[in-house]
Amino acid sequence: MAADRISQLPDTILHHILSYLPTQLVVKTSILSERWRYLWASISHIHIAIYDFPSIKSFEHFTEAVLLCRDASSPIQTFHLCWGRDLDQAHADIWIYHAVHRHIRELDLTLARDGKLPQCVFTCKSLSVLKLTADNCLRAIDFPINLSGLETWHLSGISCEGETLVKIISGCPVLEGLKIMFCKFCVLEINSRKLKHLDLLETGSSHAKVRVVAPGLKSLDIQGLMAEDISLEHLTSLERAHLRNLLLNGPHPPSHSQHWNAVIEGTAYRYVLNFCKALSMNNL
Amino acid sequence: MMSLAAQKEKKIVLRSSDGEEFEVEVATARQSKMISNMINDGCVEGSIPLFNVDARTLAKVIEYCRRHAGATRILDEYDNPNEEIKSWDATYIDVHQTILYDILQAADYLEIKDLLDLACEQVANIIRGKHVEEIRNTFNIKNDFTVEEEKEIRKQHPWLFE
Repeated sequence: MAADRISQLPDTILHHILSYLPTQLVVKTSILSERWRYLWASISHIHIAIYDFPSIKSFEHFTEAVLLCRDASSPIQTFHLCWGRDLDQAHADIWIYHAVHRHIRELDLTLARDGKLPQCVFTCKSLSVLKLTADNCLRAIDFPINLSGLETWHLSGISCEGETLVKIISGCPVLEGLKIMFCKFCVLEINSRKLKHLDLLETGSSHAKVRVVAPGLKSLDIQGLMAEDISLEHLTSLERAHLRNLLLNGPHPPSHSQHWNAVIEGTAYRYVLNFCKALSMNNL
Repeated sequence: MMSLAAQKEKKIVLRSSDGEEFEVEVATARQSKMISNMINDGCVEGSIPLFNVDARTLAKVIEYCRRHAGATRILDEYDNPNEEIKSWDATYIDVHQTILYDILQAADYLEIKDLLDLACEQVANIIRGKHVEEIRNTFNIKNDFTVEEEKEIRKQHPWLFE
């Protein structure tokens, strides 16, 4: 029989290999041999999605077992959780709470309809990457946000009430990458020297007001943005801009050309042409 | 700090565990964090002996480092590897298991993070979608559990092993 080289690899490399696999597959490797039996317990990447399970009960049972039985001294670096609408909200809250208190760096949540996010997500200082996908509403937030380490935030499919978005962004002092897709919002205001990448895709609303002041912004991608008022200022570091399907919904369409001219002042000259092209094709 | 062009001109010599010598550009060698640290510390006079990497593996690793040298060319505006390099990587790492482990261990020893990621992901892809017995057969893993022990593990997540 040929040599079993994989089992001879050190734990750190085996953990690295297992980090690419969904957690139920990682746990499954515990039955391979004694060498593999407890490897899963100290993995730092947890990916659990309800669609990989035959029933909600098995999904709940498995997720709970993984969080409770894993080696408590190992940090959780990334926690990806995707759950369906029939799951009890209290379960999800406890799981997220548990993960957030293990020095988590990356949290990727796909929420059920009407699922809510526990407050601890927005006060987690160790968090560097936050990805939220949902078909629901992010309600007005009445507590202080403290995401002091957050560098990347992706938001998809969420309606943001009132100034929720503005409030969260202002609680992320080192945010470098912001991607908002398929979201509804009324106000988006960013005033940041740190922000480097901004993507707004199929997003906004007919009365949305967008104002971006970002002298450090390197790339800007706007596709399918609906708004009443857009203002992009001091984009002096811009290296790349991609703009398509801007839908301006103001009361006096002709005046927008002037408005846009004012807006693009301060933007690197070579992109001015692209702005004008994008506008004239779709709106003017 | 030397310019990239100057680094390309300058060469250093790596010696494999079985004594074969490879002359490589500094920019290529610097893909390895371990060698890069040695260059910074001025420890590269003569040839650098690599006790844990044989000639076959070293040739393969150098091929990777040469392709990835000059990182500015291979990253897109979001600092992600571009499609061309991704497809090159996929072809590069599609090798027999024995070579895959050699590359993996060399990447770990030489501290070439991207190559270690690539090799680990490739092993993960081999595990993915296989039944327990198929995984054992693929990797020659011997089941050393007693019948009772195996029963006990299966009992914990019955649906997992259906």
